[in-house]
Amino acid sequence: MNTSILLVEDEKLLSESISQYLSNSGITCTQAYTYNSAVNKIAESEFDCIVIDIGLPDGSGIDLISYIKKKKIEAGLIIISARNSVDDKLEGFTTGADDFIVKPFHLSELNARINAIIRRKKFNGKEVLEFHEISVRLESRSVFVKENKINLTKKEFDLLVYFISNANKIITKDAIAYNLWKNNADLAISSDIIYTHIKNLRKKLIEGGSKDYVNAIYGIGYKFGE
Amino acid sequence: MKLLYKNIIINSLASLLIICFGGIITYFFIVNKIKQESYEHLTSERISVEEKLKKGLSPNELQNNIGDEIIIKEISAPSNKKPFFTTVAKEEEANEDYEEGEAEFEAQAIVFDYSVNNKYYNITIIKSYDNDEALGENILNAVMISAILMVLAIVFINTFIYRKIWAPFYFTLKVLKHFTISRRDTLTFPKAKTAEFEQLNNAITLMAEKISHDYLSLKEFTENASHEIQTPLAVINSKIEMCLQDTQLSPQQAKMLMEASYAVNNLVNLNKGLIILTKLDNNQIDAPVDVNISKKIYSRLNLFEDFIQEKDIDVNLKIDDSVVVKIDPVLAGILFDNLIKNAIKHNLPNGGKINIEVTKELIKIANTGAQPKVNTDKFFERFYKEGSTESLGLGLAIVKKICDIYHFNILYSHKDGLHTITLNIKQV
Repeated sequence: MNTSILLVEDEKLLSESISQYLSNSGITCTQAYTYNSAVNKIAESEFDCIVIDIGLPDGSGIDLISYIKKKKIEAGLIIISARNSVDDKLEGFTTGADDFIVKPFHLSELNARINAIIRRKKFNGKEVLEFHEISVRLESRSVFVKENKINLTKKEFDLLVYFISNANKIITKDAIAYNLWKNNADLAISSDIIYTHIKNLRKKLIEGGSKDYVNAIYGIGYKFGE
Repeated sequence: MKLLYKNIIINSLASLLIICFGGIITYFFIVNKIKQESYEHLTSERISVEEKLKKGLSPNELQNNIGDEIIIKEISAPSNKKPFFTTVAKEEEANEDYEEGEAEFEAQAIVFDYSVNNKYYNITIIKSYDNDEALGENILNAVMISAILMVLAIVFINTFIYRKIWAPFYFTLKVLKHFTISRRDTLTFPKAKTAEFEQLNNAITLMAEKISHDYLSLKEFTENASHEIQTPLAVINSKIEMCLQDTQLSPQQAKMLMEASYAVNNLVNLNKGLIILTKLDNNQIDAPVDVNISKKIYSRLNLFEDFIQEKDIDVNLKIDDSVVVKIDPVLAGILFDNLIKNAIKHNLPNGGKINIEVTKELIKIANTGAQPKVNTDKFFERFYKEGSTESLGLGLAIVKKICDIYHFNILYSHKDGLHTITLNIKQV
């Protein structure tokens, strides 16, 4: 399945990085720098997900979401915003956004969120995330290696989903900390907790019969893949 | 000291000084005048004595003929001495106020020589009654009465001025005392009748408007700047992340990129902290609602479970479940997040303790940890940190700010290896 997204972000340098990262993960990324070009691109083609910056030079991202909803376009909607305010989030969600990410974010985090939304839309909740012999049933939060059920803690499960969403990518410790602990990521970074969780997940997967996909990249972080 | 008292004291002292000085001058003027008059009187007496002697009156007859005391001595030879004035010590008569030895005063007298019919006389006329001392006493009394009246007048006038004329000034002062710039107050004064006060009010109003305007633009600038910084930070972060994907990176390059990433992350967190502080400084907070403290603490503790387990921290809770505080729930979350995070971060590496106690009056969060190396008074100041570069030094400043908003008294203490932060949550 080929997924395509529309990225509406006026900061070209950021837009470039995002599109490059997503393309490497097999997502076709169309870039729009303004409200109007976004409207045109929406008219031209269909997208699985639209990523929208709130502050656009010629309009508001919130208005763009209203426009998309009015046109009854069935795409996942993610807001990226420089403002981390409760009001902005509330407005975004009530207008119809599916997710809200505050700048600055890790590309791996955005990737994971886009994947999650697309899965939710496509599988209507009965999503299964697969990576070689590992399959993750998201709605029941259970993990299987071939036929073996693996018992993971909540954090180990989230970690695995994050790994698979960013398979074959190098993920920094910071990005993992943020994904698992959000605002308390700093506490995780200053401790060995990430290492502990990864060690446990790795052990459980191998014991369940999976190959060892967790590669530590010295000094940077981890890569989930062969 | 109050302006009123200052005025009264200064005015009274000045008046007293002037009155005393005036009294002394008056005294001398009058004494001088009396002396002159005495001289004139004595001169005219001399002329009349001379005339009477010329007419042939004997000295004895003269004694009774003149009002003043007269002493006539016959002398053998004529002298060329000119008449001169002098003072003679004289016994006080019939004055009961004085005791005997003191009953003397100086009386004015004229001494002259006169010859008639080949007889030579040395004559002294003494002015019968001279009352310099009584005069001095009277003047002193007058001065004292004027002084008392003057001071009374000063007190009354000043009190009146203070009450009436200065009233607009004190009103202005009261308005200024209650002026809070972050509340965006506007200053309004009733029209003052005194020109200076009207000018003062106008100047203050203008100044306050200017300050408010500057404050608002600075605030907007700070807010916009903090938010605008997020986008370039996002660019830097994304570029670093893209670089890290490169499998050709040497360990050296990877290390440098991670260091850059670490610094950017610090900047991001710093900026987040500053945005929260700016919001708090500007009172951009939601209306307080009843927040159950125990529920809030339990839910926050849940978020930290991993870290508590990881450090094997023993958490002791003594929480009154019924405690409710009026606070913005988001801020309550930030408050307990920061306090609990602190208690974990600065705890012992392994097997430490966290004690949380909540009563109707107090919230106490205590943790084991190393002795603080530096000044604990500064814990709640912005950017204050204990040597380590891991913390940004904003956490406790945010805690303090939230406590200030809700008038919670916050205290830090360290005893027996236990760091305790106590919030006094009694809201009036």
